[in-house]
Amino acid sequence: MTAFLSGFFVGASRRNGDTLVWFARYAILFYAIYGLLALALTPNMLLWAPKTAYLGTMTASFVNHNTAATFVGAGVILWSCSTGCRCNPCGFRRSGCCC
Amino acid sequence: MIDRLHLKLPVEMLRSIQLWLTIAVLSLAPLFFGSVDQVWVAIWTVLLSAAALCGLAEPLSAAHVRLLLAFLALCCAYALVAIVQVVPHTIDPLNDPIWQRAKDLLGTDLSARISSRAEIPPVAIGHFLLL
Repeated sequence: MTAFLSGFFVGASRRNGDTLVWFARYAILFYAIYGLLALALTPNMLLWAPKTAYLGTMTASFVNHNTAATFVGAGVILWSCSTGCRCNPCGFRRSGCCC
Repeated sequence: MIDRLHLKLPVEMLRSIQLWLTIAVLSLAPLFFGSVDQVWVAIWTVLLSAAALCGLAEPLSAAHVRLLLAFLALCCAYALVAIVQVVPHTIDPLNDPIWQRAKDLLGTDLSARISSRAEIPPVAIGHFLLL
């Protein structure tokens, strides 16, 4: 409830909404890169704790791999929207995706 | 002109606080093992509540207010369903049979309810408030 309300009030301003989406995109990218590096370099560790579940799958900083997948998936959507915006700004503006 | 500037400054400041609080929560919430612990749920709920309250400083358009009211109505509907399930004897034919079994086995007077749980767990309330 509070997450929606905060996002809603931020999104009421176009400039603030764009800033929030920019940070969201890069934060998710950072977590995804960390997840891939952790999977390659420290596959038995989850941050500073030993990893006991979902060994061999990317969980980033999450315990559950489904949560990590949902989080990274949200990032893919945000990055796709941003890339689509740059390629075809008018089309995306018409469909209400971004811009 | 000066009065208007004075009025606008706190609104701008509150809007900025709201933005950066939301960004901080968005960026840091996944860091601590996905913030599944109750303490993190409580911390993020407090910070996001503060951010949402800062957002109230700025007047909203009629369309925004309608959307907000629709969302709050949906939240109230969810809360009502949760309350109906845990309050004893709200809709007796729908009561969970586990209460009757427990009453028969223990010989004590237990209030039957739709839910098999006697109360809403605090962590469920926290998740509802957070998300």
